[in-house]
Amino acid sequence: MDPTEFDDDWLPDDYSEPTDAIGDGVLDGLYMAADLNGDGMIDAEIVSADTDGDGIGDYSLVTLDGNHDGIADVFETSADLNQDGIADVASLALDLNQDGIADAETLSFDFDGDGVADVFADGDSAQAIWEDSPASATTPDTTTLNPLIYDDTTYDDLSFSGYNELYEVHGTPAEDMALWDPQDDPMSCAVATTNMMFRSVGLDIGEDSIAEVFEQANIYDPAIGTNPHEIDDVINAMARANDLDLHAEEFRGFTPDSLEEMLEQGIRPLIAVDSAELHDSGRQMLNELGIIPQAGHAVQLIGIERGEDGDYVVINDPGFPEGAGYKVPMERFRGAAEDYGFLGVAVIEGAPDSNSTSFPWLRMAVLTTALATSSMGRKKRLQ
Amino acid sequence: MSNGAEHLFTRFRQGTGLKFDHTGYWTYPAFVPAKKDEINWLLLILKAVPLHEKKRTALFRPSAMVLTEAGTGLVLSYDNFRHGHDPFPSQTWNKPVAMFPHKSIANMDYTEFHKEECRLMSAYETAGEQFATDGTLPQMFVDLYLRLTHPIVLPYLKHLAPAFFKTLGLEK
Repeated sequence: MDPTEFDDDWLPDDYSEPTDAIGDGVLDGLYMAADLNGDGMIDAEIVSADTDGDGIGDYSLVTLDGNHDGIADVFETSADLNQDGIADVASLALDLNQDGIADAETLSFDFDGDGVADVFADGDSAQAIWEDSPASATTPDTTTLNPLIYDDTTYDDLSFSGYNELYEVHGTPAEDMALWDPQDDPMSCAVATTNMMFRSVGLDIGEDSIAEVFEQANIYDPAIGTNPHEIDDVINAMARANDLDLHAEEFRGFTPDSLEEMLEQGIRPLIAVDSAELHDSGRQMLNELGIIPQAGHAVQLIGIERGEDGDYVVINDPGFPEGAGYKVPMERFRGAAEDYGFLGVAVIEGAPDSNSTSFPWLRMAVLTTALATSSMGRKKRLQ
Repeated sequence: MSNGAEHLFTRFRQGTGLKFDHTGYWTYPAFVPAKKDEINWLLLILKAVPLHEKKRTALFRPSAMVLTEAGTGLVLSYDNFRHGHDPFPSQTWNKPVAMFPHKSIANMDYTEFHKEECRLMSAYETAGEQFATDGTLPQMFVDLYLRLTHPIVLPYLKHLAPAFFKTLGLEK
């Protein structure tokens, strides 16, 4: 097996349908230690399984709380789930007595089947490619996968001569592709999209600065994502604290017509969508996209096109490498947005009504600096 | 009281200030016994990180557990494992424990998957009544539940919803 590739089914090697290979009543590979008698102590258990049917037990789990102090003294699992002859390792432990003492635990798998246990990169950026464990760090797994292939295309692919005579275009999508900002972290789509909205009014604040403010405002957690319902409040507070001539408004229940009106007014709003529905052409398998249904995502609307072959929206999607000027059929876009009540956030030029703020921490030096160095907003370019 | 706290408390009273970490991969409800002949729903939320270039979503260990009335959505308890008591304290938050989709659903398209989820959900009322009455589940429900449920969820359910897990027939 080419160590730089995954199985044909795109699944890690250690996955298997729930089975009980040796009939001991315990699912192979799906076993954890437990306090089955409810005394708050982890019970001693030994389990083995022959997952590949060769008559040799290749899976074992041992847990033991010999002194009954509630902490597993021995808790180890080994398995050869990808049948490469090398034991993969996985173990889980509990704190069922709630004493706050961590039990022993390790997790590692051999995802790419090269016989070396892989570990995921630590840190918040879980989007980092997994690589072999430090023991094999001299030969890192440099897996590179083919880019996603969609039926859709990006805006510039269709911007041929005479294009504007065939399509009624709202907004300036070819120009606004330059607003695109790929998200820095796996859960920062709304942060990146907010940065794109700022760019659309001539500010280039930067994702780091916005993330910092959003985190302080408790609407963004790098491990969870962003609460879309308070983005406008925080942007307005940022604007007040920094004397920005803009304000933000959340809107619901938008229609294609109302979006067109926004685009004509120069607004390039954030739209909340179901990412799976947005990118599913209707013929793709779950393992071709790998996106959980109803997965929340934020994108920026930059254009609407109406033509004989149908209506399309043009978006800047921060989550995909080909996300700048990504075209989606209008009906699919509406379906993806419907899951979130056709929710959006618009950044609008012009000061908000109130000039006061209850959040002095919003007055960030970094924001002032960003304003001073801003150079790439749409308004600036038009000037 | 600081302005921030006052603002937050005001929003509590307005019913808009409470925050729940509810994003991620939601498990299908498991049944847990409640009052006599009644059950509640237990749901786990696993942190999920889309890996678009990998064509999959990394699933991390459960970050929260929600207990609701069966079929009503009324929250009875919410346990945040990241910031409150963590029943799995040694499990790291930074390393995925599994990938979505799992094998038994990987070759469904999204429409088919949605239909299967709807079929499972439509079976919940009957299955819940049977579970509450005699502690068993319809085989159709079990088969569908196990097909759609990510296998990584099952070990957690073994501990958090042991009666339900036992009824799935995974242990002899």
